[in-house]
Parts: sequence; structure tokens; C-alpha cells
Amino acid sequence: MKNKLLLLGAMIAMIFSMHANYSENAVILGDIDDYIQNRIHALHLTHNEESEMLELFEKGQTKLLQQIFSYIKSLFSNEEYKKDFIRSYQLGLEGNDEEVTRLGIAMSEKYFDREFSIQLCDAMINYCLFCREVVADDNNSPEFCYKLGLFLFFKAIELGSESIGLDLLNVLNPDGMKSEEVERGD
Amino acid sequence: MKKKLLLVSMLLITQLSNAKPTKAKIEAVVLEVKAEINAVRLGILNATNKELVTAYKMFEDTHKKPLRELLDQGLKKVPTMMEDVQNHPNLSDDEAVQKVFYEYIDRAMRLKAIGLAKSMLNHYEKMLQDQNNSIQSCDKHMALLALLHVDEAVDYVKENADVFLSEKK
Repeated sequence: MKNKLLLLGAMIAMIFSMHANYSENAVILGDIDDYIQNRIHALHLTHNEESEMLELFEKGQTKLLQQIFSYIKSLFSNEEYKKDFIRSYQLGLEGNDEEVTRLGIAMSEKYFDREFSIQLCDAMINYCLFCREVVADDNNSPEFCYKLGLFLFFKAIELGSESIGLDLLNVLNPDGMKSEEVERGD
Repeated sequence: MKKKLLLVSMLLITQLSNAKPTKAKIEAVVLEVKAEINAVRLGILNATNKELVTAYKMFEDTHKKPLRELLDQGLKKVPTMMEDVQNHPNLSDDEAVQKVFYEYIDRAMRLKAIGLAKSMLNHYEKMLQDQNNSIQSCDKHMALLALLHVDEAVDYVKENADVFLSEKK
């Protein structure tokens, strides 16, 4: 069950964590890099494993993810989205997880159009097919497959932060608020 | 939403993998997860009975059997898996569960799990392509379907509580 939800939830969770659950994963801009590096470090990958996984990520996922993040990035030009986004961010800082989830769902319904939803769905199906190929390959151990699943998840978050990081910072500092204040939740 | 479900299922696995579970503890965890499912269904999704029935029919027709088969495969490994978790005193509970988890989930289980996920996504894509469905109704239906998977899994755990309670001598 955990494995199934990991596969199914990874990409959707990534999208939600990109626009709603910042407090939960401590992915406030300045912390993203540390967060990702710590989580990847905890996988105890050998140099060869990390190179191989990185290659698989770049080969199979990067383009699709970039398309998805490019859409999310474009949403920041919508004033209404920005307002909702800031609200969800503030709720996250207050630790109001239920409201963050509720607003996150409402936002995805309001701003993710049918074409984007289908694109996201395609990306997830491709991710499943990719996982199937990796798992079915006798050269890959269960440990490798498990670690690869987590590695891809963390790299996806990293790619998202790289793709929309600066835009995000601008959205979170609309009135010239200092970034340190945002990071402290003041 | 799905992230929340992921956390719930991880909580379930972690709790059940801890040392010496009791029947009361298992039932408490099951109740906790069921309460969370209901909270999401009613409080966040605002799903009507009709929407729930539609999702349940889909789940019954296409997902229940493969999910049960997957759980059956996992259940066989539970006794030794739990014993192995105890055999890592130097690791934290989370690390021990993680280590044992990836050693025990075999290739057949992984492929079946991916098959289930892919089947759900194919269903989602078909719904989205049908212009008669609003995006909101597609999203809500899929969220309910995911909830039903977790609900079925906790029912399964409750039905098979004895396996989780038996200790290998």
C-alpha cells in the first residue's frame, strides 16, 4: 500500500507541496537545497548509484516536469492566483494543515485547466511505465528501485524549486517584505 | 490530499511495525485512520452519498480484487518482516521499517502496485477527456477512489489482526 501510494502520490504530492505545503516540508526557499541534499544523503547512495539515478531522471522525467512547472510558473502572472497562493502560504506558516489542504484542492480545481490535468495525468502514467521498466529489469535490486523512487521524488522537488524559485520569491514578497521575515514567518 | 493519504498509510505501516502490537492497539490505529478518511471525505471533499456510491462501484468493479491480492502477498511476509524490524536495534524505528520494507517487497508486488496506480490514472485520464465531466467532479471522484483504497487496506488489517499479533518463536 505504501509503495502504491508512493508511486501514485509522488507527482501529485510534489505539485501540492509546490503551492500549498511549504511549512510541512520546510521547503521555504532558502531551505530547499538543504532539505533535498539531506534527504538524498539519507539514502546512502554510492557515487555510481547516484550517477545512474541522475541519468535516469534526466532521461525520463526532466522534460515532462519542466512543462508542468512552466504552467505553474505562468500562473504567477494571475493576480487572483497570487492572492490565493499567499493565503495558502500564510495558512501553512500558521500550521493550519486542514485549511491548507482545502485551499490547495480548491486552487487546483480553479486554476488547473483540463489540458493541464490531462498533461499531469500523462506525466504520471509515464512515470508508472518508467517505474515498471525499472522494476522489471532483473539487474535492478529491490533496494535500488526503492531508493530510485525516493530519489526521483526529491529531484522533482529540486527541479520545481529551480524552475519557479525566483517567481515564488517575488510572489511572497509583494510589498517589498524582506525575505528573512518571510523565512521566519513574521 | 494524496500527500495526506500517503502520510496516513505510512503512519499505519509504522505503527503496526512497532514492537509488540496488541489487538487494542491495532484497532485504535484502524479507528484513527478511518476517522481521518471520514474527515477528508466529509470535511474537505464535501462528497455526497451519490458521489461516494459512484466511486465505490468503480472501486468494487475494478480495483478491489487486485488490491486484495496485493495485500495478500504482503500479509504473508508480515510476521518475519516485523521480527526483522526488531533485529535492527541500532536503527531508529523509521530507519528499520524502511530497511526491512524494501527488502521484503518483491518484484511481483512492485509490478502489481504499479499496475494498480496505472489503472487508476488511465481511468482518471478517460474521465478528463469526457467533456461531460467537470474537472472538479473528476478530481473529487479520484480522491474518493484513493480514500476507498486506504479504507479497504485498513479493513484488511483489522480482519487479519491475528497475523500482526502472532510472534515467531
